Amino acid sequence: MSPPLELDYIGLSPPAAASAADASDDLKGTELRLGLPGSESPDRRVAAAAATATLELLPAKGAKRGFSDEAPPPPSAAAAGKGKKVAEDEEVDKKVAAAPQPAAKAQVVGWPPIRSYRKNTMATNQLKGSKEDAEAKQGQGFMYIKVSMDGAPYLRKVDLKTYKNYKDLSTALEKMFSGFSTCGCNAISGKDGLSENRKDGEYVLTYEDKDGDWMLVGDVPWEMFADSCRRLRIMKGSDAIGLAPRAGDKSKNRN
Amino acid sequence: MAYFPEEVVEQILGFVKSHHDRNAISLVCRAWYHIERLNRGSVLVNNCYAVRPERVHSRFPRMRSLTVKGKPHFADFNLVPAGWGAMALPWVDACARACPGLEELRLKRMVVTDECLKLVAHSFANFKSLVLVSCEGFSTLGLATIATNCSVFLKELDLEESVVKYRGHHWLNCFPKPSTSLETLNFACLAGEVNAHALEKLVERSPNLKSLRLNRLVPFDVMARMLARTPKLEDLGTGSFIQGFNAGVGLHLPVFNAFRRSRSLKSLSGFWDAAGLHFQVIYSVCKNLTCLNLSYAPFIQSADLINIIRQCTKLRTLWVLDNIGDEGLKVVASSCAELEELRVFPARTAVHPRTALTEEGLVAISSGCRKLNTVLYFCERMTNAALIAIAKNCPQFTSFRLCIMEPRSADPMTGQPLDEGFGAIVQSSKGLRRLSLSGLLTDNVFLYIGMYAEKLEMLSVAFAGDTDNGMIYVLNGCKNLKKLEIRDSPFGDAALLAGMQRYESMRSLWMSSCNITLGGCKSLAASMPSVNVEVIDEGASSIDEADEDANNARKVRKLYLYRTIAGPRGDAPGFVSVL
Repeated sequence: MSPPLELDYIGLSPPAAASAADASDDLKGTELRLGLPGSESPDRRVAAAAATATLELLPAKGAKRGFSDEAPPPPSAAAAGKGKKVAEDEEVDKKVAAAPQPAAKAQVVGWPPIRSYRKNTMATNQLKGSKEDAEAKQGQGFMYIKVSMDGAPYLRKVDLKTYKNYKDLSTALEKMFSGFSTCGCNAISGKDGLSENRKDGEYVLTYEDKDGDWMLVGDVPWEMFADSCRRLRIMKGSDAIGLAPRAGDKSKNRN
Repeated sequence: MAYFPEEVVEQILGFVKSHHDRNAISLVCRAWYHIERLNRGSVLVNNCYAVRPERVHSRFPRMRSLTVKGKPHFADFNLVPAGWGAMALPWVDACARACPGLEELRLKRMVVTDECLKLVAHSFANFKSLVLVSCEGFSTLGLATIATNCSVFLKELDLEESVVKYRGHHWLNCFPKPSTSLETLNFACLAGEVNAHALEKLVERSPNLKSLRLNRLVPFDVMARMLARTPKLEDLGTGSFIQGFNAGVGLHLPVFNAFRRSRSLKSLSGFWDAAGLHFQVIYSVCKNLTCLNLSYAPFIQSADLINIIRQCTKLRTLWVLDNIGDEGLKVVASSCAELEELRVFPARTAVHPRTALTEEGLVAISSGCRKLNTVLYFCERMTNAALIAIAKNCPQFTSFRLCIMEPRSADPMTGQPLDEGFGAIVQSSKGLRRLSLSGLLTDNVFLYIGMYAEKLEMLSVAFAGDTDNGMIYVLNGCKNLKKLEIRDSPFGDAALLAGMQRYESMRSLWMSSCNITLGGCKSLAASMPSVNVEVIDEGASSIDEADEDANNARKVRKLYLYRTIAGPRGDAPGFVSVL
């Protein structure tokens, strides 16, 4: 069974390639171990004895050591339980840390002893909060975009990642903007499509995509839409001239 | 004693709730054993593999409440591979057969499937309370069956820190109508979105709600409306502070008012995405708070934390992140004289700079909070002097867990190991029951622990010690030790075997990344039939190799041994060898 991919405590997952690599010699230079840079990891048995003699075993002041769960080790790298090198132990403990990440550290499984529940929660938290608007990178846990409605005094924000299809989105928008116009959102939550009941409601849901063009919501598969959507605008139907009505022959992929 | 009427003993037993005392009573004599067992309503099984479920039921036929714990503690830190065991189904199954009157089921660190939840939902007509702590394996569909089919008496559904697969949010709709008996509902761990409308309706029809913990996707305005409808609420876990929160000035007034009117709120948690300015809404309840958990709120700056905590003068339990800094802890020390439990977790965000939390913070707390008895403290550095001062200030620790983030960190001022510091702690806190060590430690610290920590029940060791003696001191000295967990420490077969006399009176021993060999484990297993010796070896080749000597000399990566009357377990996966 393959262990689940574990995120670095601060939410960065080490690139699979780096962690999957066996600690071969040519990677030795890039490896991070517990211990000062430039020093060999001391043999565990003499570590304590040596400790009193060397103040250098103190945590390097500037070096932030964020320990994190390592990504699943390959079956051959048998030392799953330890991340530090033990001289007397033939099994290879060296883990190549995620080199490109600025916060990459030597990875020791289960240290510091923080519950995985806590780690996962904090990782999601930090990713969600660290951006303010739609410049969300791919693969992060959220994508907040602005939603404007013609005539409303202020805008809202929604996280596109919390929805799986157009229906969820339209229900959510309907709730969010229900205060402004009673029938305003009928157009949005049409029977099986977004732009169905154009004549019933007054509003049309449109979005601005990566290229800056304003598009009608509902044409492309959900994932594609979620990837390229930068803002949403609930437009008055009367303004939406030129966007072809899509009644009846509405397309296949609704999600 | 033989003439003591049974009825009287029963009466007295009715007042005895503690499991420890009950167990002691049952050992007095055969008669008392029987009176006690027929009287015990609340049964605690600390290790699901220590005894078979059927045996528990036959001993305690009048069971009303069952608590079972599964995986070892280090499973929290991903040291126990998935699939190890601790399935809840055999236990629930046994309950369904033997104990249809079951009212309460509490499981910790167990694997609970939807099938299992379905069985719970359909088997117990009086079911009142389901608590799943750090469990996994179920989904929101399982929750839906619980909500739908469980008795109307269901008072408590608590999913503390469990991992729940998201399969829709429809479960909130399923609770009984027209009203529920819910007093506690905790779904803070749920990852998926929640149907706000259903949630509001549920709260509306649950007039007895005292504790409500929302997940981070519940919008702010929804929480505000619910708060207004739950006048008896004592414990609230907030939802989002950003979703649903309008920038308009007047719109957070309802929340502010809702909090202001909550006279009974004593405990707050959540705050996932809250930043300083959101905090103002809770100012009005601070003076009544006894319990505050801000440890999942990385965006709150120290200054805002301080402003809040300054007003929480009745606080007994505080969980925070280390961005509170020493200064913040000094404010805690001067404001919260009633503080009994403090936990400081590392924030470790990429966003915030290195935290300003050192040993000084804890020293300040120890001198200001004289009732402090439980500490969990993550920090970058600690000194012997600080620990000695802390020990002197607080002789009443029952649980002291210190985690210096860098393994084997010496005292930064003297370069010495932290033996003396921890020694002071165990010497001064005579009632210490739980201890976690970190930093640079030699065998000496174990000598101190063995000598002084008479009441110690649980010891966690990581990256510590020099020789086998360390572990031997502890095994010889701590007569009350129940759980010993060790990782990355140089203890070998001699130490392991030295404890042979002890393991039957202990609950369990965990050793990972130490120096024990397979041969050592085998000889231990051979001499102790009432102890299960499990060797966990993921990714290693089979244990029965041809060359026995070479095989026996192999280092064991993970060992978990525990006393049991159930014999070797039948559900051990391939990577676990029960010797």
